[in-house]
Amino acid sequence: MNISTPVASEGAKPMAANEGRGALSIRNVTKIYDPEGVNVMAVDNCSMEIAAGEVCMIVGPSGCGKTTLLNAIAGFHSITEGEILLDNELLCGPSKPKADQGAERMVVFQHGALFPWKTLAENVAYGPIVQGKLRKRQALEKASDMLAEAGLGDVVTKYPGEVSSGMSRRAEIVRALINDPKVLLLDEPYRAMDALTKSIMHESLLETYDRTKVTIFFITHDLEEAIFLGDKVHVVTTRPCQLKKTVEVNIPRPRSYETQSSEQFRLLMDEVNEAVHEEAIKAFQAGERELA
Amino acid sequence: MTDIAQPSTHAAASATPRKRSRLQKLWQNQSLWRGITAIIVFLFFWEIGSRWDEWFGKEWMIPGVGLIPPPTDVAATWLEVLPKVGYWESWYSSFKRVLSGFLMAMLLGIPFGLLLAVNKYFRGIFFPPFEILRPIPPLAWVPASLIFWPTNEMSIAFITFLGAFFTIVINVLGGARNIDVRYLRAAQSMGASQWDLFSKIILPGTLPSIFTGAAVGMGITWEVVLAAEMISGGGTQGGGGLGFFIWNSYMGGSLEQIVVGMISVGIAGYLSSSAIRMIGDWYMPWKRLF
Repeated sequence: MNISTPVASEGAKPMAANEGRGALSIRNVTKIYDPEGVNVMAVDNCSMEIAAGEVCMIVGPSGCGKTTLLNAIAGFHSITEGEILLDNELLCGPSKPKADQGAERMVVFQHGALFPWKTLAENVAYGPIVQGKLRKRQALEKASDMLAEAGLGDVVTKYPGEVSSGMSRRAEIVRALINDPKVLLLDEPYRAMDALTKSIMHESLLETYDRTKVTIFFITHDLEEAIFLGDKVHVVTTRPCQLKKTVEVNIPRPRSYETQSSEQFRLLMDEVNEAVHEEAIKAFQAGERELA
Repeated sequence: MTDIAQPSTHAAASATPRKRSRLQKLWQNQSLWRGITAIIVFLFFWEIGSRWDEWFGKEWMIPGVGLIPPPTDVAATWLEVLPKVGYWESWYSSFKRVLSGFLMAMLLGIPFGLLLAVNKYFRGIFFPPFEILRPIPPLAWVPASLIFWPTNEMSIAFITFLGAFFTIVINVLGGARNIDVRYLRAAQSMGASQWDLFSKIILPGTLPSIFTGAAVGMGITWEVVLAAEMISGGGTQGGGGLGFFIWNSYMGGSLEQIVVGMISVGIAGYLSSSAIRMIGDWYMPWKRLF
């Protein structure tokens, strides 16, 4: 990845670094959890096609199996049926239920997973060092450069406990990007943040995306977030997780915060909201049945 | 490290133009003064409590406190004892026992706890016997180890070791097992090998628990050493330690000297745990912020 190139790529023509990389195919994936014979179907015959360089937002009720899907792509869990391909290469399928973990699919976790015992720069440098790609000194230099680029130049030598949650989440995305991933897997990364911090996070992520054009698989509850960031919004059903509806977001990039007050944005909101609301009601009723 | 980091460090340096000296800092340390005041107030009430019967007659003696010698008498006795070689020999031999038992327990306990945590076969084999031996109080081992080990000193060392060992192992095991799976997954996704996972994630992730275990273990070690010294009677083999010092004072009927011995143990324990805290701070810079 050509980090040092200035960011003046005027939005329309992105850097070619990630072009044509990171197409995800999720085909008829089913996941049944079977702890002690209790069959829980988390994902049921779910299929999605995510094009290279697309920002794909997954929206659905809590506990519906979105994270299960992400875990299968990342290689944390196995799948029961179906297959997942990355750039036409099999990640997992009938012959190999669990994908290998790899640096081309980097996860940014819901509560953050920066190592508390490493400084931000050491955290970011970790990947290239353990992969043997860079010597420690070079890796730290590159990490500091990338952090500075993300507006974190002042805190490279701070520990995660010393910086705000917004800063640490941005640093975590930098830690993922230094590995030059094909896909960025984000599991509700901004969930616990206030609206103001969130809006800054969104702009920072969009800026990062415009620069790298990395494929993004983003799980969220927040519909505004989904439409503001995404190229496509996949609404999934309550458990077991199936694709219910795909909404194309045709708002041109680069997007700014004003986009959210446009008429087009409002119409898209309505469309997504309707689909999600139905599922939310179903999930709520299912929850009541379980309690009764 | 890089040219980006430099401006901020310069700014930080110029923000604090005059550095306070260590002594000034100590002088201005409020919690230090609060602590000193608290101790003085405590001694004051102790003095009054002990002297009550002298001033108002025996029938006004406060139960318990009235029998304890007042701090001024204790201090006087302490001044008598201080120049004596025997007193410092007691310090030396107790410290030696505590340190050797404690270091042995750390040396064996940390790797053992980590192995239990990372390898399920190892855990399957060694955890059950460990769990049966763990609840046995160290002092219950005294008779058996007196018979088993050839010298008194060796049995004391063994019992001391046991006291710290179980605590350290259980802390290390708990700490290593409780490392958040997200850290392991993140590291593995970034291509960490098994060794990287162990040395860069599990080990630093367990450090806080290791130091907790060490602090608790150190406390137990002092307890055990003192008790062992009282039981074994020291005598025959050189220094009997602070435990024997207290016991001996009891046999000699010197209440003041008993209290001197007790406070000495308190100071020794405080010094030991401060040392562990300092080492912990030094090893875990990221923990200093909390």
